[in-house]
Amino acid sequence: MSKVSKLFPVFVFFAMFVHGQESARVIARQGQVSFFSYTSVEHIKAENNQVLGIIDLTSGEIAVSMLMNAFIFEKALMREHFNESYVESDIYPKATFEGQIQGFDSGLEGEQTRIVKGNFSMHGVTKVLEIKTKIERKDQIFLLTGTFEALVQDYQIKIPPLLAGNIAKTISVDFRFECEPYAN
Amino acid sequence: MPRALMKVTLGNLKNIFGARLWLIVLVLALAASGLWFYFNSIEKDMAKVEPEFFYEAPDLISTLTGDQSAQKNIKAEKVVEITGVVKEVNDRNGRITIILRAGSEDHPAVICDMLKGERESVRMLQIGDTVKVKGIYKGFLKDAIFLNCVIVHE
Repeated sequence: MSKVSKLFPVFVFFAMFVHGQESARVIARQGQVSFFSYTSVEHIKAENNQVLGIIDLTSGEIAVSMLMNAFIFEKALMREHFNESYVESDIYPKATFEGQIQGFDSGLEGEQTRIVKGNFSMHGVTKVLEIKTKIERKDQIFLLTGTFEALVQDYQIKIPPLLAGNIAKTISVDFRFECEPYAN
Repeated sequence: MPRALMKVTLGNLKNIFGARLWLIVLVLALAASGLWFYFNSIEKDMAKVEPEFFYEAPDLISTLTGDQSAQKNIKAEKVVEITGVVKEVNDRNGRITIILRAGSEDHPAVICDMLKGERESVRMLQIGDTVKVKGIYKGFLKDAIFLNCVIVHE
């Protein structure tokens, strides 16, 4: 048997291993993040439908990135205030989250609820968040959903006194990521 | 001045000022509602907006992922017209989205979040069709992201 023939199974194993490693990540490029501000004066809702989320199924690591100027508001004036005065999206264009799904079992078909712990950075401020997340697996698709609350003052967002009554001190944030195998 | 005449004069004055006041209130209300609609219109009439840049999807991605000098002009909020091959059409999150292929790989690609009025035009599209889309550039994550997109009909 030639050397090439002897090494062939090793190459096959290596190729399978590499392929296995690549397919151990899933991606959502149209993840959705919505936030809500409820006050007696005004209700404000906005959603971003192009949030990027990548999960390493082996390690349970998760990375999320979103463009702050891609939030859609009911009124253009709200979007203008949000981008120019509050989150200053020209200076801080992205918000990111890097964390770990604790106790994640990627092989579990069906539903599991896990805590995702990590660093959320927005408007130049990084905070540690622990978010209760529902994870549903159906074949190769992983659907992550959840809600958490964020304090406006934690992210050094300054609201003018005149508009203080229009914006809640605590913002409710919903997310939904439908992740599929990462082909690249 | 006789008292009766004085009453009439005051009454007239009240009528005149009352009418003017109502007119002023009406004009202000119209102006305010006009400004409200101007500033709060949900979407610009994208069909009428002249794009600042014209790109083939692969060239756009090359520019955005290339060196800084090449991409210096394509900043967020610029209107860009992109010609590309349809890779995917979906209605995820209740939005109408066209994804244009920019190469042989899955990423990067061009994500176009379409305006609601485009539903019928998008319905006609097939995977592999070449299409021209115009929208507002928002930035780049794994893919280039455009909002308020419309299909350009020639």
